[in-house]
Amino acid sequence: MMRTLNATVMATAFLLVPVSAFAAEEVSVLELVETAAELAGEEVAVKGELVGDYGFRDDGWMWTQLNGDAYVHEPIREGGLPGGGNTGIGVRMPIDLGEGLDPPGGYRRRGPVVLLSGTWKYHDPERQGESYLEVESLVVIEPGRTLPEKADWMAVTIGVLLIGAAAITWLFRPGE
Amino acid sequence: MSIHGLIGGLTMFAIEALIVASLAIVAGVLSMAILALL
Amino acid sequence: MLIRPVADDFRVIAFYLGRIFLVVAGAGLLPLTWAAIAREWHPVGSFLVMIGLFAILGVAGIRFAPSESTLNWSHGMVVVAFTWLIVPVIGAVPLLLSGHFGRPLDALFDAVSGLTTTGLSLLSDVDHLASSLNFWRHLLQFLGGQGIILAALSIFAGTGGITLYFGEARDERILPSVTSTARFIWAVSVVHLLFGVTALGLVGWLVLGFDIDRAVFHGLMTFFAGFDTGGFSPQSTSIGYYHSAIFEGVTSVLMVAGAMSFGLHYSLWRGPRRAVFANLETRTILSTFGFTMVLTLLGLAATGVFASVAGLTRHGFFQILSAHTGTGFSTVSSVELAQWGGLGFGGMALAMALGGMGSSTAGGVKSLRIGLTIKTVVNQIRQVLLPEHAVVGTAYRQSGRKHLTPNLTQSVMTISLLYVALYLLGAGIGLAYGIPLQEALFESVSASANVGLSVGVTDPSMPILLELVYMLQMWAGRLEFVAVFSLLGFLYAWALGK
Repeated sequence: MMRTLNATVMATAFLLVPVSAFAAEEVSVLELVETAAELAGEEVAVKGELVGDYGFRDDGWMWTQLNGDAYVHEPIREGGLPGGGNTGIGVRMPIDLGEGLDPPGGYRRRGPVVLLSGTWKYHDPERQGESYLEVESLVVIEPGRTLPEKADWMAVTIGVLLIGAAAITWLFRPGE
Repeated sequence: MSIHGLIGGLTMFAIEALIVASLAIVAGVLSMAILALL
Repeated sequence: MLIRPVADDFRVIAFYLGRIFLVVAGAGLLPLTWAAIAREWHPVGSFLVMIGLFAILGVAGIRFAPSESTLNWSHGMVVVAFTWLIVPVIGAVPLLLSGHFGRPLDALFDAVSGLTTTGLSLLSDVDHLASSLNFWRHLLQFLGGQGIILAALSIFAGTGGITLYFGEARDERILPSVTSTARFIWAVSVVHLLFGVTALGLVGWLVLGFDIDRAVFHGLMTFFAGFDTGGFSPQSTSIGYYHSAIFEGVTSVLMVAGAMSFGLHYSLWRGPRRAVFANLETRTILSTFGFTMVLTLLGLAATGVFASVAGLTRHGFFQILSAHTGTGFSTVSSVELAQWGGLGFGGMALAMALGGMGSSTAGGVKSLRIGLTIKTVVNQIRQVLLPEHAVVGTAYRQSGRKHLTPNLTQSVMTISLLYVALYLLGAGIGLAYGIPLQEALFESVSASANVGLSVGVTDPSMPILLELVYMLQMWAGRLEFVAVFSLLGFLYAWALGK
């Protein structure tokens, strides 16, 4: 039943993708990072996970980070392999687009996977040289979800034993 | 830490901020000159 | 003739190491408490193991109470060198158990990088790392910047404290006793923590719109990495994550504070303040900063990377400040940094190589040595140009009037040359692996001068030998060689002495 529900949600999301998103060139986050200068000023569509924080500022914009790396679909907490650093870009969107989103990715949390469309601003003179994606439309592809976490009982046991051994050794130390 | 110590510390922090601001102004002037020349 | 160390030498070393490990075990309680409060249960076990290892080594060490507790120069240097080898090994345990590293050596690399306040990282997926582990990484930078020995000396002094103090690359005695000096250094740090975290937290909350707990988290992590010129950051895009000139401004104040010697802090705090600017060290660092800034701004402007005055100023200034203070924060990606060729690259590499002030948290050759080297060269030239019997003055100002003696000159030149050799060593190994010269040199200087800016060479796929060389560079660079050579001499004497 969950699978049917997920498929329905995704199909609905797909149908609701604004026309402007189709007009934009679809690129990956990695391409934006590696060919940042070539894509300056272009209308692009990019998919990834929102991570970190949602910064709702007084100027009407919300800032966050969009990651497009292996950990989006293979989180380390779910057995994904550590294969290098994150690949992310800063994004800003009108506050009304950002409100109501699932919390961003972090520990024990995979943030919402979204398709963002907007203008790639490379060293934008209006923001003193910052590079970021100025978002015009947002579609949630996958909602955010909790990632599993459990205590490492083996480590807890070893740690407690070591501390206990240290305490016993301390108690029976020779006088200083 | 006494109030006197905190005030001394705040003065130290303020001087450091002043140093950064001064260096930033110098950087700004240099940037203007360089961009004008190039 | 080399004299082989005897049993009592080992007892003295083990005793002092034991005390230091107990202090570090105590420090480990902080991230453990954080993990428990944040209900991050997976890291709790790893912190318990780490604390247990430090505790058992500590208690075992102090069992070796020596018959005479005098710590001589050689003992002290060996204690320092071993401390800075063993602490990262055990400190890497929580990182390794986090699952964010592909191999154990990578976790050790990050622990060494943290403790030496370098900031190069092989951590995978920092954006999903537990906050308690992020706190531990940044606390390592705080411990390393302050000095693990210093932390221990604040609690116990004892005879030989001064040897340990100097072994950790501090050459200023600010107050009459080592303990009072150590406590003053802590007071300076606490003041910056209070004001820095408050300022950053307020910016994060009121300007950037973060939730208040996240604003404090970001402020605290940025303080640890900024004031201790370490350069780790809680998110993958470094200071570029915040998209805020105000945040960068406050961070810059912390970076400058971190690169200033603690003697300078003393003068600024308790006076006389004006004397500060008469110091050779202050004048040298202002000069080298100005020179490298001009080079970098010229280079960036020539490549057209930043077309506006505001953009060139903001990013050029921040990057060169980050490089010169040895912090390693960045507002651009390492991919982009690698594309800054020519003068831009040259200015930043030179700034990293020159470094901050002595007895600060910064790395590199350091400004007083640079100033004295320049003075020596100028004096030599003057000696040649002036009549044969002319006397060239050797005086300079550094917290009073001092003289450039032949011994001082020799010491300065030796350490400076050793740094240059270290920079070239890493560059050579990088070249051998086919890394282009510009990138190999940049990354090598970054590791040796404990900066942490990266053009992408430092990566989980890097060759193991290169990874080991960078770790050696970070360790030797942080300790400024003396303790390293003392350890090698001690081991050599133990193996071959009579």
